Amino acid sequence: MEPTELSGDWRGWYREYGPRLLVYARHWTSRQADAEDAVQDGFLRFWRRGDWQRPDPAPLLFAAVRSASLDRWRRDSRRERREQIAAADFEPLLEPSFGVEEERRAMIERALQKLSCEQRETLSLKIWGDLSFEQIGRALNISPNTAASRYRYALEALRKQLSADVLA
Amino acid sequence: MSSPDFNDPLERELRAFRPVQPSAGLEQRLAAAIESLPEEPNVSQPGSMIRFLPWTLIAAATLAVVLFRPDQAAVLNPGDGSPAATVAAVPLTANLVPVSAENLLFGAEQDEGIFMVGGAPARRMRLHYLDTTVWEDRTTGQTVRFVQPREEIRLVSLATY
Repeated sequence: MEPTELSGDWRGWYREYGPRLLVYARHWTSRQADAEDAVQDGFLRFWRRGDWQRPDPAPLLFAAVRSASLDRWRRDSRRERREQIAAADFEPLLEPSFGVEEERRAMIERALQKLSCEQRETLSLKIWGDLSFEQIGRALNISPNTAASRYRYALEALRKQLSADVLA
Repeated sequence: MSSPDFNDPLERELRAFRPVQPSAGLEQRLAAAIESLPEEPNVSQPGSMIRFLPWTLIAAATLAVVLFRPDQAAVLNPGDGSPAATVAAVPLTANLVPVSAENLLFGAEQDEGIFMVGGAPARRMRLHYLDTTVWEDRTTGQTVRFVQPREEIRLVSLATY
């Protein structure tokens, strides 16, 4: 559904973007509950500011969740971060689709974690956020060319990582 | 929203994965939070005047003190030593003409950014004035001064880059 069709229906926005925002927020925390808190904070910021009324609001929604995720990440103590990393294996980021083996999903998630933060979030916004490079640029405050470049590098890095994992 | 064309096999494989669904609790928490939010920003929102109420009260109190101090109780200045009259005592037939006007800016503040109907961002500026007008009765030489607080709201367009 297009954002223009969603207008002031926050539930429509949430249902359309909730899972995409959650996978995006998971780049700053490996715990689903923390990611949901960040999505909640970001979504409320987006809604409170009336950003949904602006033209092409989707990048603003992702930017709000990014900001909320970073705020939470900064607040977390080092001990909590260690706990999150330890719990990461028990809380998958992605659901397998039919025909895709669970082992492959876990391999991809591990490879994603080895990408740089910039590459990982760009990849996530493109693949699961379904944003164009121009929209990614707006969400991350970078140029569309930079977004495209980061995405290509991310894809290549992920490909190399997966190849290395298969060979290992 | 874009509809990207994913040609790379790895891209297609990644797209085949669906993000984990949020828990039902998240939607409930959002519903509770959004329902408790104040109304969205609106230039003509009645609540905006309520926010200005403290300024209005301060200005009105100041005005009352200035106008009704015992030693300067004369709103009308007869100039002949006779007891001061009040505004209500001004005869309806008085030949009043304005002789001076002053707009004193005594405060300004910025509100949060808002979005206009078309989605353009703007910042709302609140300017607090004390408007003073002096009228003179040409026949008697008496003057009367009206002082009233005024709030002016200016919308300053913001450009985003």
